[in-house]
Amino acid sequence: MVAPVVSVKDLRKWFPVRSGLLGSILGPRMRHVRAVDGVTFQILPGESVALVGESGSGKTTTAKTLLRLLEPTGGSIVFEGKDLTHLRGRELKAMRRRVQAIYQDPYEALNPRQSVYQIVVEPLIAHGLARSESERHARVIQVLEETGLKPASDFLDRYPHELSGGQRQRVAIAAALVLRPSLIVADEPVSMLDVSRRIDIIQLLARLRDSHGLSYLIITHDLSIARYLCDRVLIMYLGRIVEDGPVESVLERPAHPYARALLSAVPDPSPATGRQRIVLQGETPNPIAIPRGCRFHPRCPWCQDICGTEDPPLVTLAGGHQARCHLAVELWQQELPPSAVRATPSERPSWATTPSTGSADEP
Amino acid sequence: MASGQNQNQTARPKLLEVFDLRAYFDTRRGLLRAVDGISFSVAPGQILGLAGESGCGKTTVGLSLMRLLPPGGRIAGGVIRYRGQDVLRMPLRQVRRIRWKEIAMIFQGAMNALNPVRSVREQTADAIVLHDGVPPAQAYRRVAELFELVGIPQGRASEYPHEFSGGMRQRVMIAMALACGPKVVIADEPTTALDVMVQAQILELLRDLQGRLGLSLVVISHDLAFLAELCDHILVMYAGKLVESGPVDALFRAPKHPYTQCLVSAIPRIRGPRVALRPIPGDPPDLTQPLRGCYFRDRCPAAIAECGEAEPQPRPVMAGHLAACHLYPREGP
Repeated sequence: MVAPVVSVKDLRKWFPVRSGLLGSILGPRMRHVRAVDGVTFQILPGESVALVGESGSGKTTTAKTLLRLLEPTGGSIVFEGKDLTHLRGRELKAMRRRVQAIYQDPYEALNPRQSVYQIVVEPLIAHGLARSESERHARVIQVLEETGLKPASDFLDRYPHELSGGQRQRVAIAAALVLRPSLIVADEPVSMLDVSRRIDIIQLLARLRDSHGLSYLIITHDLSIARYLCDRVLIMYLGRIVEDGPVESVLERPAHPYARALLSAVPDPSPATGRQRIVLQGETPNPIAIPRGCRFHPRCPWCQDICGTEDPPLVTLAGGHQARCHLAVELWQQELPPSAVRATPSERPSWATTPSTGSADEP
Repeated sequence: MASGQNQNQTARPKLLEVFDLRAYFDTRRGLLRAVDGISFSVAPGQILGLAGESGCGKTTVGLSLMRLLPPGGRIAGGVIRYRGQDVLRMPLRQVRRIRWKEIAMIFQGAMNALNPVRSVREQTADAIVLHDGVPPAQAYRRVAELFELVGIPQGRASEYPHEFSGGMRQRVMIAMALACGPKVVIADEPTTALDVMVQAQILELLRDLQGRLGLSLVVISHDLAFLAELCDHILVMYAGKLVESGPVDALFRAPKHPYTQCLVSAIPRIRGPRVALRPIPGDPPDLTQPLRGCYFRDRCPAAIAECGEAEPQPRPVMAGHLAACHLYPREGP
């Protein structure tokens, strides 16, 4: 078996909530925002994994923890055989070279006062990688051409404001790639770009992955991006991964109600699909007050009695497909429509917690 | 929608008509023709989508309808008629009777520009007092109705913008746009930067409001899939020009203009077979430079000799469906 590039186990990142002076004196226990609350996954060499979820699901916190921009509260992150959760100094710097990040907005991520050359050469200098000026120059040229900025010499002296959105994102990718990392964490890498530019960047990322044997963790709320770029998809809700599986398997047969709702909410330009949209009401609850039992049960159209009391285990389905739901097997095996459980899921008031199970077997 | 009768767009009475609209900007690099000869109309109750990439002029069309072009921008030609009245040639005093009261706009990203130190109820009431000149007590009653309409719980009306999520702030913006009872609401990128689930909620809200209030909506978005689910009719813009206009089903099932075809095949799908995505090569033209022929020809996979010479005009290719492309003969099919 291939050793994973990164193996995340029971990762937790809790942020303490300050509730004023009085609260801190009188409050017997500190309250926490449980942004990431027990996340486990692996990424294999050359594998692209999508981490999908709504705002507040904890996907960006997971990424920041993985980049060690945040120190985790608990759990472990083993990267290339080394636990990076408590690395310091030189070892941390060495790890940073191997894990690089690409951000959503390339305009904000690039220093407006640096030329393309300065932006891309800076990581090399910071890590002391190429000793001579000519060696650095060659590396910058090479990496710019790899990211499709050809001829590279035309771009070296340009500044971010002189570039289009797609070109800026390519510069950001070049600056990440110049250190020859093994893992790139990309937070919504294409969501700021136009439709036509998106494909370019998706195809570029796919090409770079294949030619460099890169692994990706792609943070996105867009499942269609996941489908075109990733091998596996992790669906996150309120600090937990609720579904994990090969991308086609999850898209075709989502087993977790949240994954189903998320999929059904993605707009589709083919008007004749005749699908039923499940629009969840309300928003992801506050991660300070996580619902009892299944975290999703207050918004779940399939909610049962058990869901309000018992946290569901991660159920393994087939072919590496897992879901954290009491009904995972039923949902996965048969087309169990929410209407079989409850008439109109979208009309339920948000936070309606009274479960009804009576009509589960009716046609 | 797709009746066999020809011109079902023209069969309905028009609320808003735009003929040959031109909006130019004076920039340091010269005159920029952001919108260059666009014609369309909006029928009562219609949901019209305005699609295109960044910089194609779709927001400028929306701002022109409101007569709210930013400094440096001006209407260089054309006619905008609201219920027969010429909006572009009326004095500002008269424009104010139409702006917000008849035609309102939800600006792109405005939900991030709410006043942080006023509660959402207060600032919505401020807008009503300012525009309708009603006493505050009456304005607050109206805010309560509006919040109910857009799904903001009564208990949260006294909260501040920072306590609201993106989706809830967008509901506040929608409530503000509806404050003076407009007939036409222009929504500029209403779901951009929102999560998929919140997008779906806003989409349902807009559709619901259209039905309940009998509104006409002009929805501006670069997200074709979102427009496909919401709109009846879609206009596709490219480099300040209208390239295609058609009923939503026809436009997505059988797009006529090569640019629309490119855009449609560039949308990553999550359903159906995983077809290869085709990027559109090249970049849109610089609109400060003089251009000849079809503006899309350098990127067009189907360009012919004629494209370099004459500018194609929008022509009917099917009932209620126009395309500005030399591939379609003058007579129509």
